[in-house]
Amino acid sequence: MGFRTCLKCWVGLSGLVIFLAPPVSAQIQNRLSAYTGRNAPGYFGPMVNAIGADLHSGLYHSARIPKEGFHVSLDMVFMSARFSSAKRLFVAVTEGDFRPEQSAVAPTVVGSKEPVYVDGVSGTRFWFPGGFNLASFDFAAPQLRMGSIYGTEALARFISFYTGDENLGDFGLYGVGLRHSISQYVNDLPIDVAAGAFWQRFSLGDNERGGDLVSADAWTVGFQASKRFSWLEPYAGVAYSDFDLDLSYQGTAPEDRIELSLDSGDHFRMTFGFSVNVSFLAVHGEYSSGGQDAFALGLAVGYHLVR
Amino acid sequence: MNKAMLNLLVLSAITALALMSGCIYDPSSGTVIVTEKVVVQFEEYREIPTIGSAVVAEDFKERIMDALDRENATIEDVVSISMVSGAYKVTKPSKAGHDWVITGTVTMKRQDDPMGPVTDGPANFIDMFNQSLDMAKGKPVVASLNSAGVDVVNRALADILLGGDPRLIITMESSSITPPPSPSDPLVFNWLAEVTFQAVVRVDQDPD
Repeated sequence: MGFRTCLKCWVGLSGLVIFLAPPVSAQIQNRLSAYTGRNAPGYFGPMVNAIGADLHSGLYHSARIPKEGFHVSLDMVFMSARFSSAKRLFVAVTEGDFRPEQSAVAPTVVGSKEPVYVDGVSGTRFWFPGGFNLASFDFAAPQLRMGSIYGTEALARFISFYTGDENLGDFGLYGVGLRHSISQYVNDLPIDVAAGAFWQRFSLGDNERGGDLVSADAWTVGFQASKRFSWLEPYAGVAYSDFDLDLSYQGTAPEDRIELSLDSGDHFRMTFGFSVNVSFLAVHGEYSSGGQDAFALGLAVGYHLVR
Repeated sequence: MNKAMLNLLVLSAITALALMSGCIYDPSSGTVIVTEKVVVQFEEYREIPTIGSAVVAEDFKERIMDALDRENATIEDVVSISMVSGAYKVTKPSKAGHDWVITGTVTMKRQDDPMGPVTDGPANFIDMFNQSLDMAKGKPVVASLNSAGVDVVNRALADILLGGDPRLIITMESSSITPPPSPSDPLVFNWLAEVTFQAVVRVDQDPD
C-alpha cells in the first residue's frame, strides 16, 4: 500500500469514526436547562472531566524527536473516557421555591436515565432529572505532526463538522502545540525525553449573540519519556492540565437564560502507553490516569515516521 | 514484522475503534423534566378590613402543551406531573405612606364550566400569617402551602393527562388587615401568585 493510498484510507476512516459517534447532542439542550444553579457542577462535572481527559489524551506516542530532518505524520486518535459507577451519582439539592430544601442522591449527566424525586410539604414533589446513561465519552480527531527544527516538532489538531441538529449547529475542535527534545542535550541517555505544551479549543453550536453555545479551552504542559526496542516503543508522561468549559444558552422564554462556567478539577495526569512503529505506520495505545481515567488508541501514517 | 502481522495489527485497531465508538451510548428513550409556572394577577381595592378577591387560572393545560412542544413531545409522553411550589409577591405596592399587614388564606377550587358546578374544593391553599406587604415587594415570598389546596392542583394536573382542561379559581380571603383600610385610607395594591409544577416527559433519544 503506497503512502497516498494509505492516506486516503486514513482520511476515510477518520470520517467513519467521527460519524459513528452517537448523536448525544440530540438531547443536550434539554439537559442544559435541567440544572443551572448550584447543582450544575455536580451534574455536568463527570462529562466536563471526561471531555478534558479525552482532549489531553493521544497527544504523543514517542518522546523521540530528531534534532534535524523533515518528518510529518497524520494521526487519527480515538479517545475514550469511561465512567465509573462513582461518576454516575451526585448529591443534588432541591432548587427554586420547593420547601423544605432537601438533598438526594441523583443521576449525573452520565448516570441513569431514570429521574428521582423527593416529596416536600403538603403534597409537593421535586424531580431531579436523569442522565444519558453513558458508558463513556469518546471521540476521534485527526492530528498533524511535523518537525524537526532543533529537536522541536509541532502538533495540530483540527476537526469541524455539522452535528446534524440545526439547534446545535457545528462542532469544531482545533489545537496547536510544540514538543522539544530534552534528551538531545544529554549524551548517552538510555531513553528519549521531551517536553511539550498543547492548547486546544472546542466549540459547539451558536448562541443568539453570535457566540458559541458551548466553548471550552484545554491546555496541558508536561514531560514525556520513551524507549524504542526495534518496532516496539513504550512511553510514559506526566502533565499538568487545565480545562474550562463555558455554556451560553438563551431558551425560548426571557428567563430561560443559561450562563455556566465549569472547570475540570482534574489537573495532574500520568500516561502509560506503547507504540508499534513500522516504516510509515504507527499504531499506539495508552492509558492516562487522573481524576478521570482515559484511553487513547491511534493510527499514524507519515513520512519518515520512524527515524 | 512481516506483512501479515502488520495487516492483523491494522485490522485489530480499526475493529477496536469501531467497537468502542458504538458502545458508548444507550439509545433507549429517556426522560426530561419540564418545569413550568402558572401566574395569576390580583388587583385589590379595599375600604374594609376583609378581602375576598378571586382570579381564574385556566392556562395550566396551555402552559403544559407549550412546554411539551418545545420538547417535541405530546401529552401522551408525560409520565407524571405534580406541583412543586407556590409563591406570591406584590407587583404594585400601596401608595399609602405606611405598610399593611395581612393575615388570611388563599383558597383553590376547580370549576371547569364557569356556569357549572364546582367539581373540586374549595380548599385552603396558602396560609398567610401577618404578611407585610412591604416585605412581599420584589422577590417572591415562598408560600406556606396547605395540602388540601395542593391536592386540588395535583388532581387538576393529573386530569390534564386524561384529556381534561382544568379551570382553577384562586380566591384570597383575609381575616385581618392592619391598619384597617377605610374610605380615607383604602388598601390598593396588585399582587401575583405563582404555581410551579414539573412534568416528567419521556423522550425519544434515538434520532432515527
